Amino acid sequence: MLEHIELSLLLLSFAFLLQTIEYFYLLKKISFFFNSEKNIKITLTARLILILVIPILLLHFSFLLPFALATLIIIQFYFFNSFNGPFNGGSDYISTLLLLGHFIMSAFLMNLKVIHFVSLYIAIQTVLSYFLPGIYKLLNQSWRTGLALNNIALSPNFSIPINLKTILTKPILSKIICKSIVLLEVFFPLLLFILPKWPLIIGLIIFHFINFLIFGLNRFIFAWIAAYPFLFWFKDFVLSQYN
Amino acid sequence: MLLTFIFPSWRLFDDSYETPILYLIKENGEKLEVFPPIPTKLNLLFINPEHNYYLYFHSAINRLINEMASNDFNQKELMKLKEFQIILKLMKSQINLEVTDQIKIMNRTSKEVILHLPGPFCA
Repeated sequence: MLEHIELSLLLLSFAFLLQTIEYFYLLKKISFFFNSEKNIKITLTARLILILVIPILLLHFSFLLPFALATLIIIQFYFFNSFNGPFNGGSDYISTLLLLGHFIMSAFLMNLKVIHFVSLYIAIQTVLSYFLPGIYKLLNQSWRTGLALNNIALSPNFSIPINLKTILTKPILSKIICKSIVLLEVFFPLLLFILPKWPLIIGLIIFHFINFLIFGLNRFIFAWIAAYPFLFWFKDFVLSQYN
Repeated sequence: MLLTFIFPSWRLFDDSYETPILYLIKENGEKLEVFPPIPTKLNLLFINPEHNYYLYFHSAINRLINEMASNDFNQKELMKLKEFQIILKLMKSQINLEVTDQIKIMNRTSKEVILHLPGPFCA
């Protein structure tokens, strides 16, 4: 398989591993959404085993990979069906998109056209996953004026760490961070091609880390990182067309 | 459902940061907040189950409120909604429900009552 696909699959397995451990922590609570606690325990154990064997399959038994990924997809949708939708919004969207993409690519391993098409599709969706929220924020007055984060910090809806709260409640700092986030998201398609790889990755990780501190979105970090190999493959692919 | 994952809208938390308060009102008038906001801690970067459960509650309760806004349901119809059943499961996973319990959903910032339902909610 191509390098970017292998790397993404390993990163996705890591993201799924963390999610599965979290589900094990929540076992008693989420068992209300399934037929029985035993049922969910078996499903989670199967999920955990599949995730752990993915690196082995990738290295030695790639012909078995489509079956493992198909089973993971079935488990994923069994969860979504029981939860009446995604459990963790955006991170479920990107990780399921990646999972579906990896399944198709592993099933059509010999077909380079399919692999290119799916890689391209995942890369474009990843670009859109930054660009579109940026546009939605731009249409929102509180983000435009730079007060959104200030309002969030003052809102009783969030229990933000005190140090960060102090920063966000300072209007000038809130404005700078708000506008930086909107600019990063709106100009993301451009930044992907202008900035070198590592400064961009570090910038994106900082962005997701701020999201984690404010909203507790830890799953987003690992789910999106798993899509980055497609982003940089896409960048190289596009640039190679012009060279 | 599959299509929403192949063509995601990427409309993530753009306009609704508000997580309404879900109260369980006991027979003696005691109000219990079923899902209070959870503080973020650095050591929860990798494994953050309770916060993710809270985020699931956030999307489930907003789905219920959106459904209520799009239709005029009576109590019986409302209780049959899948979105309401999910909220009940979320409550049962947090707290022991009793026959006399009432549910109150309020806007956390404005304190406006969105829904006030008398029970019984447990079989």
